[in-house]
Amino acid sequence: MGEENLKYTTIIFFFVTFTLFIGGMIIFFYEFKKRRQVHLNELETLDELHKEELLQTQAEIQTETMRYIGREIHDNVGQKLTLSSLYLQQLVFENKAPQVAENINAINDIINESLSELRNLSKSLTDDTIEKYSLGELIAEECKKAHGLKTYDIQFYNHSDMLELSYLMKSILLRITQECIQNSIKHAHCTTINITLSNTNDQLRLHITDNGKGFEPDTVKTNGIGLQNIKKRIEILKGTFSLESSLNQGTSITLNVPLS
Amino acid sequence: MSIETQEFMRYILLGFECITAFIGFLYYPKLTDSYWKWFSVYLIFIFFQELFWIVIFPLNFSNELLITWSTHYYNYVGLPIQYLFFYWLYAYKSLRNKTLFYAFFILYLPIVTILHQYLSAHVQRFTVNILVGSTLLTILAILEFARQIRHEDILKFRENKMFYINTGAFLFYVGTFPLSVIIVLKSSDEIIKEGFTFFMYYFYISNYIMYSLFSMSFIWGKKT
Repeated sequence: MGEENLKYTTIIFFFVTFTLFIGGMIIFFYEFKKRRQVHLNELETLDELHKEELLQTQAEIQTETMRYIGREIHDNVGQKLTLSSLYLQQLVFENKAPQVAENINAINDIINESLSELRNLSKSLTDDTIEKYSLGELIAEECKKAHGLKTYDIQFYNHSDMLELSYLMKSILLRITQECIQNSIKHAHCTTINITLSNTNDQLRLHITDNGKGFEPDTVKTNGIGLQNIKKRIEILKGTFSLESSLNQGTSITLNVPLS
Repeated sequence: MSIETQEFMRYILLGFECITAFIGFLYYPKLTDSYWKWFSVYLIFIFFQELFWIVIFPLNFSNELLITWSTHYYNYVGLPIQYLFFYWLYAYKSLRNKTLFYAFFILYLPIVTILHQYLSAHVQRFTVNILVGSTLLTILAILEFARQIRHEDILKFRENKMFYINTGAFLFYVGTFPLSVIIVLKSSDEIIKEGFTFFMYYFYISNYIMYSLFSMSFIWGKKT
């Protein structure tokens, strides 16, 4: 091989291998970056799934605990108080302590009142209405209760299909509706509340409006605990929350929750 | 590049080899239950080999007998050990392809041995040795590179010993093998005169980088 040829072959070979090396490194780091992004996305999805499962489990445990406490109140404490009441009535009936008969009656009344309150508490704790009824029915029931006060008009328009929603979703949307109704009554002093529930194939929409005094979202502190709670709850469902309000024009809240 | 500069760069290279061998020695007890212990052994061997030749055979020391011994040594011991070790590490251990290792082992030794029969000059034999050895190593380096890109472990490449080794080996063995030939074929004066100085620098610098990467493979790389 001549000197010139050797020189040019070396130069060409050097640049070819060096370009190959640099090119390889670029491909390597490009592929690394791409895989890392995929990996991070997978981790994020896993994290979200984990959070969702955790919330679902939390809700289930909470419901189970409440039911257990309710049953215990009814079956254990309730029975003991009933027995106490019977013994006291026996004392009065047999006239064994006439000098304290009035006191015994008073104690018996307190026990009976406590029993009644405990039964109500037990009933509310073991209540499975959220599980049993649809969201539309639950909101309608809530409106009916609020309408009973007769101080304002509350209308519910249910345009949604009969959807099989999870306990968590129903529970969260019902609590939000309750929060909004309370806010409209307590803070906005409204006379009319309109609630509309509708859905598309992949989204559930809850729209709540009132004709109260309203507020300027930019000037009024809107990060109160109530609104913060609504935001946090709707985030759990991966939904969106929007609020529109202006002075003397009422307030409107729209919630969009994905159904998938 | 003057003979003094070249001698100086050669000593720096020996320093890099010494540090890498020392790191390999320090990590040896941790690697006794893994095949990576042989990488430590290999680096210690390379250091002592280079130390031996640099001490008894300085660049400006012209002794025909020593040149012959040195070329013989590298032709029949030094280079085959280096290439066969890398074939084993790449094909047998990293790519987990025993057939590929035996194929390369069988290809390298007979080709070199047969070609040596037809080449009279030691320098020509040396050239053939590097040419065949490095070409086969290039194939393995590319295969290893492709494996690393496709493998899930790309996300943990900082912990992958083979990432450092492959980068270093590619940069030096693959990038400089024609230069190795020039270094053997030509004297320092010829190298300067013919404009190969840049490549001489590249030869040494890529060597330093390779040994630094080998050290990193012990420090940051994981056994498995």
